[in-house]
Amino acid sequence: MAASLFLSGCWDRREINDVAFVVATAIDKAGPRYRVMVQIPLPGQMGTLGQSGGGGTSGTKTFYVDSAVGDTIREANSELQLAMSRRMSFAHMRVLLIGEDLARVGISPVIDVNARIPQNRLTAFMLVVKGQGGSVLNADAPMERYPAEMIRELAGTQTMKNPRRIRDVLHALISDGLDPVLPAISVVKTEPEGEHDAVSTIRVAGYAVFRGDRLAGYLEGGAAEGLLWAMNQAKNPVITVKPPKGEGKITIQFPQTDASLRVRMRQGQPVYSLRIRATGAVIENESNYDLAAGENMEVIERTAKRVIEQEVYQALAALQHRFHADPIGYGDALHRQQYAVWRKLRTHWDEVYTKVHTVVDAEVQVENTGNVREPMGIPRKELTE
Amino acid sequence: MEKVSRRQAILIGSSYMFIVTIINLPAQVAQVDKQGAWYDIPTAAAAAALSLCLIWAVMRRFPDQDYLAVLVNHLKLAGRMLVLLYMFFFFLISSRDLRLLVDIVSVSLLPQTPTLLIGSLVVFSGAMAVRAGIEVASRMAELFYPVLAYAVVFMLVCLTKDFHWDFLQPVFENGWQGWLRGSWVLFGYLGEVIVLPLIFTDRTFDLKRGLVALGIGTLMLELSFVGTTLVLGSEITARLMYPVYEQVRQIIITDFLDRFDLFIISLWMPMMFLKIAFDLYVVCHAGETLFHRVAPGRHLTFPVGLLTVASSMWLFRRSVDVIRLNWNWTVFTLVFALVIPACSLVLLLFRRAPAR
Amino acid sequence: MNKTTRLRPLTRRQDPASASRSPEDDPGKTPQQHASQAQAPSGQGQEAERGAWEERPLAPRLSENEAALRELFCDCSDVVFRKVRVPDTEWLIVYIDGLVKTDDLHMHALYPLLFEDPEHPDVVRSLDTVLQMGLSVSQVLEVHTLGEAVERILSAHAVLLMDGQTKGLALNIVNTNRRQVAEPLSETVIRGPREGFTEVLRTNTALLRQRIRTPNLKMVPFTIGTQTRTQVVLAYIEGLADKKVIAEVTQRLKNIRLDAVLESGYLEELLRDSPRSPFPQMQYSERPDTVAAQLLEGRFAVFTDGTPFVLTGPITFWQMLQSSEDYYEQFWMSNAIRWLRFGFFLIALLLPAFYIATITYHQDMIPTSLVLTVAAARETIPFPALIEALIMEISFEALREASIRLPRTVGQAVSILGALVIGQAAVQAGIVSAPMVIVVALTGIASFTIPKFNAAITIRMLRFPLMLLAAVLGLFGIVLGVFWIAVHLCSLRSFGVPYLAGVAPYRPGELKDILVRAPWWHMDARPWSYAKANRRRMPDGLRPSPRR
Repeated sequence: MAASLFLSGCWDRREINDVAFVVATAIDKAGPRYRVMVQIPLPGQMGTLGQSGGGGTSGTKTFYVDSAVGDTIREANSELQLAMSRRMSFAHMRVLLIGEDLARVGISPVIDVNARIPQNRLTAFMLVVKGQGGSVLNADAPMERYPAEMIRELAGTQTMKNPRRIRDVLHALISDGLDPVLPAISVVKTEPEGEHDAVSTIRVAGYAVFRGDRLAGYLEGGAAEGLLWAMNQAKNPVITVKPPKGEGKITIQFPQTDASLRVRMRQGQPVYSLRIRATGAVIENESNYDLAAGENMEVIERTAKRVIEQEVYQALAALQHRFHADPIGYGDALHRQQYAVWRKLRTHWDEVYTKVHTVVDAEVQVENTGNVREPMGIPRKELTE
Repeated sequence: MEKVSRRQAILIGSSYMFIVTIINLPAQVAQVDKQGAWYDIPTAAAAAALSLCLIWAVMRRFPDQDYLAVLVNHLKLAGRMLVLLYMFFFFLISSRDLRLLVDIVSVSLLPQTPTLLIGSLVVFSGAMAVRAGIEVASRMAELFYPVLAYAVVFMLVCLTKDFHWDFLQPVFENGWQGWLRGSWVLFGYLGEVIVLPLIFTDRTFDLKRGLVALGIGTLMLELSFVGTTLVLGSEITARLMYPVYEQVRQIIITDFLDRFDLFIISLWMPMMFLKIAFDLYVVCHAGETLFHRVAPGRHLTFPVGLLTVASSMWLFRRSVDVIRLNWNWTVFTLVFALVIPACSLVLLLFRRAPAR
Repeated sequence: MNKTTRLRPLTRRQDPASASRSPEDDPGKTPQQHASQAQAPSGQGQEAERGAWEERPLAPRLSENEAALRELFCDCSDVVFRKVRVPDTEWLIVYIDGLVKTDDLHMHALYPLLFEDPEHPDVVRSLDTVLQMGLSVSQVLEVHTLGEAVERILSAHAVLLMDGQTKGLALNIVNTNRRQVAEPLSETVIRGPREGFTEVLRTNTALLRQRIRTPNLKMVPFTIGTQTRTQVVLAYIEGLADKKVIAEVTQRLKNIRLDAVLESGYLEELLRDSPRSPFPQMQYSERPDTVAAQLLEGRFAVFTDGTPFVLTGPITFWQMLQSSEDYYEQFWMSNAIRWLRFGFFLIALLLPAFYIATITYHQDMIPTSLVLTVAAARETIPFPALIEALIMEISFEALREASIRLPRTVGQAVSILGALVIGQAAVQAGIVSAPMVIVVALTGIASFTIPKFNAAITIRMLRFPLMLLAAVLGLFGIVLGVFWIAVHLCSLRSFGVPYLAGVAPYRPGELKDILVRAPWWHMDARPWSYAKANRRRMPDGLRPSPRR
C-alpha cells in the first residue's frame, strides 16, 4: 500500500498554475438552451511584483471572458473547458449573475448546480442583470482589477444589510411563503466631461422581484427603498424631506434601522404590523429651516416618518397588486407565528396575500446634526423659525 | 501501567455520541421534524440514559468486570452468543463510520484519490493507535477533544450574526409524530454511548460518569444542530448531505477570512480516526473476552481493520445507502442498548458477585 | 554496547575467572562487597583485557612495583617516576605530568619526604607516620593492588609507594586549571545567571551545591566506560524525587557497558525508554539554575566529566517549549512569549506542509485575493510546489548547518548576505517564488524560537515527512501525519512518566506551568508526575496584597 502511494502518484494534485479561477459566472438563455459566460482573472497580467514574465503593458486586460452554450449548465461548462488550457475552478466564484431572460423563465435549475458540488459556495452573491448577463462581465470597471470584483463590492456594500447570496435565494425558493428578491444591475457609461473619456461601468439599478422562481418585475426609486425598509435590509438609507416652512430640502441618513413584522389575527383575518425604527443624523440642510430652534427637529422627524411610511406603502402596493410577489415574507411570518392559521390558508395564499392589510409604524429619531447646528452659509435674518 | 482515567472515559463517551452524528443526521432530523431538533436530542439522550442505567444495574452487581465480561462469565453460553452479537454490532458501526469518513474526505478534500486508499490509511492509523494500548488512544482523545470543542464554539460564535432566530419557529410543527420520528433516528446514533460500559470496568465507569458523558455529548449536539437550523433553516438543512459542513462554510469573518471549512474539518478528523480506533478496540476486546486463551486483543487489530475496510466498501456501495440505513439502524441500537441489557438485568437480578 | 575493542595489555594472563567488574566501578562499596562481586562469575569477557595484573597486590619490594608500573606505562612520556632515597627507605612517586598540580606536589608531597620534620626528628618513617604527620594533602586514599594504583594515577592522583609496604597512598592534587566558568554558549538569556557548567565534574557539582543547600541533595557517583573511566554523578533531592525512578536510573547507569563515554549524549542514548523515538526523553542543559530548578521539581540530573552538558530527566514534551527566562520575567510577558512559542512551534512543524497542501490541492481554502497573488508569483516557476519547497527547505538546513561552522568573525555577515542574495537571486531568476521564500523563512524563524535545541532538531526533521504527506494527500495527509505523531507522543514515556503528562493525562493544576506561567504565588504544587512524594511547594496566601 505504501508503495502504491508513491508509484501511482498524487491523484488530486493540481498545480496552482494549472487552475483557472472563475470569479464570476453569468447565465443566460440562448433559445431553449443555456449560455454560460465566465470571467477569469489573469494572474500574470495582474502582477505588481515587477518580475519577469509579467508583461504589464498598458492596455492589456487583466481578465479573460468566454462563454459557451449547452443544454444544461454543466454541459455548457464542459464546452467552455474544451477551450481552456487550465482547469476551471469555481471555488472562488463569488458572483453569480442571471440574465433577464433566464430570470423570467425561472431560476431554480441554476440553483441546483450551485449547491451540489462542494466546490461551489452558497455564499456567492446573486444578482440579476438588466439585459444580457454577459454584458456586465465585459464592462470596463476601471476602479477594480476586474469587473467581478466591482460587482462583488457593489453587491456587498451598496445593496442591503445582508446581501443576497445563493443560500438566501435557495431558502426563499424552497420555503413556502417567501419569494426571492435580488439586486439588479446594468451597464452604464460614466459621465465625465469629454465623450472620449467615458467608459462603461456597472450600476445598481433597482431590485428584481420574483414570484416563485420567475422574475415578476423591477422596483426602483422610492418603492425599492420602501421594500428594503420593510425587509429590514435598508443599509444606511437616505431620505430627503421638505421642511414645512422655507425652501430647500433636508437630507437625513439612518445608520441604524430595524424593522420587525408581526402578524395578528383579527376576526379570522391576518393583520400585519410592520414596526420600523430608525436612528439617524442630518447630513445636509440646503434649506433655510433652522433645526436647532424650538420644536423644529420633532417636526422634521414626523415628516421623515411619513416619508418612510409612504415609501413602504408604495412598495407594498407594488408587491401585492402588481407583482403578486412576497419578498418580505408575509407568508413566512404567518407560518412561523400563527402556524394553525397558515395550515388553513396556505393552499390559497396567493389570493389572501393580495388582500392582506398592513399597518406600518415608523419611529424616527434624529440624533444629531453633524458639526453644525443652524444651516451654514445663510445669514441669520433669513432663517425661518 | 496507568489505566484510563475517568475524565478520559467521559470524553470518549461523549465523543461517541457526537462525532459521527453531526455528519449526516441533522438533515434527516430536519426532514421529519423540521426545526424540532432541539427537543429531539434530549429525548433520544433520555432513552440512552435509560440504557446506561440498565447496564449499570447489571454491572454493579459484579465489580471489576466490564459488561461483556459479565455476560460471558455469568450467562455462559447465552452470554457468549450475546458478546458475539455485540462484536458484530460494533463491527458494523466501524464499517459505517469508516464509510462516512471516507465519503466526506472524498467529497470535500480528495475527489480523485481512490477511496480504498483513504479507507485503508484511516484504519491503519486507528489500528496503530489502539495497538499501542487503550491508554494511548485515550490520551489522544484528551488531546484532540478540547481542540474540537473549541472549534465548535468558535464556529458558533462567528456565526452569531447570521442567526435567524425565527427559524426555530414554529415549535412542534410536525407534532408528536415528528418528535417521535426525529428522536427515533437520533437514538440510533446516541445509543452508541453504551460503548463505555462495554470496555471499562466499574473502576473507570460508573453511572454518574456515564451520564456526564451523555450530558456533554448532548450539549455539543444541541449546539451543532441548533446552530445549523439557525443559520441555514430547516428546509435547506433537510436537503443537504453534510449540513454541518455547509454551516461551517457560512462563516464569514471579514471579506478576506471566509474559508474555514476545510480547516475545521481537519480539526474534526482526528477525533473521527479515534472513534474508528475505539470501534476496532471494542471488537477486539469482545474477541478477547470470548477467546481469551486463543488471541490477545492486540493481535486482532490489523486483521479486524482490514475486514472493516472491506466491509465498509461492500456493505455500503453507495453513499446514500448509509443514509437509508439510518432509519432501520435504530432497531439495532434498540436491541443492543435496551433489549439485551433489560433481559440481562432480569436474568441476573438475583445474582451477585462476592464482595471485592 | 558489547563491541569494545580488545586492547591487549602488556602483561596479560588469560584468566576469564577473574574477569568480573572491577571494584573501581563502585568506590562507595565496602571491600567485602567488592570481594563478593569479584567472585561472582560474570561470563562476559568484556573486561578480560584488563587482565590479571589488576588484581595483583603491590609487592613489598619497591623495585618490583616500579618495574611493573614502568612496563604498564611504557611509552607514556607524560608519566613521571620520581624516586626519593632517604636514609632509611626509598620512596617512589608516580604521577602524570599536566594532570597534577606540581606546586602542591612539591610543597606538600615531596618536601615532607625529603626533609625531616624538625619537630619529630627521630620518628621512624613509615607510610602511616608520613600520612599522619607529613603530608598536608587533604584527600588521601590507600591503594592495595596494582590496578588501583594505575587507576589512581590515571585519575590525576599522585601515587606514593614505599619500599617494604604492600600498600601505597594516592594523593589528590588535581590540577584544576581548566576552562573558567563562563556564560553558557548554547543557552543565552536576557535575564538570569550567566554561569555555565564547565568540563570539570567537580566544578559542576559545586555550582549545583551552591544553589541547593540541603543535605538532601544526593550525588551518587558512577564510573562508566571501560577505556575512558569517566566519572558520572547522579544527583537528586531525596524526599522529592520518586524512589522508583531513581532506582531505575541507577540500574540503567550500572548496566552501561560502553568503552568510551566522551559526552553526555552517549549516556543519553543508553538511558532512554524508547531508543528509536526522534523525541528527546532527557533534557540537557549548560545552566546550573536550570538544572537546580529541575531537581527541585523532583527530577534527577546526570553529570558527566568532560562535558558541560548535564542531563536531566524525566521530562515531558511541554518542557521543550519552556525556557528558564520564563520564570525570571514577570508572568504577563512570560505568558505572551509562551503562547508565541506554542504558535510558532505549530508553524515550524506545519507551515511548509500546509502551504504545499493548500497550493496544490485545496486552492479553495485560500482567500481569493491571496490566491491570485500567489498564482501570479508562481506563474514562471518551473517546479511543482513540493520540489520547490524541498529545495528551499534543504538549502535552508544546509545554510543553518554551515553557519555553525563558520568562524565567528565572518559568520554573521556571510549568513545574512548569503540568505539575502541567494533568496533574492533565486526569486528574480524565477526559480523559486517569493511566497515560498517567505514560508521557508518563517519556518526557520519559528524553529529557532524553540528553546531546546534537541527538540528543535526533531521538529525540523519531522516537517519533511509531513511535507511529503501533504504533497501526496493534501490536507488529509497532514492530518494523518499529525495523528501518527500524536500516537507516538502519547505512547512515549520518559522514565515512566507519560510524555504529554499534564494535558494527556490531564491533571487540573498542571496547566499552570504548561499553558501559562502562573505567578509564583500561584504555583504552589510540584508536578504530580514526578513529585508525588512531596507536592506542596509553599504555604498558602503568598499573593502580595495590602492586607498582608
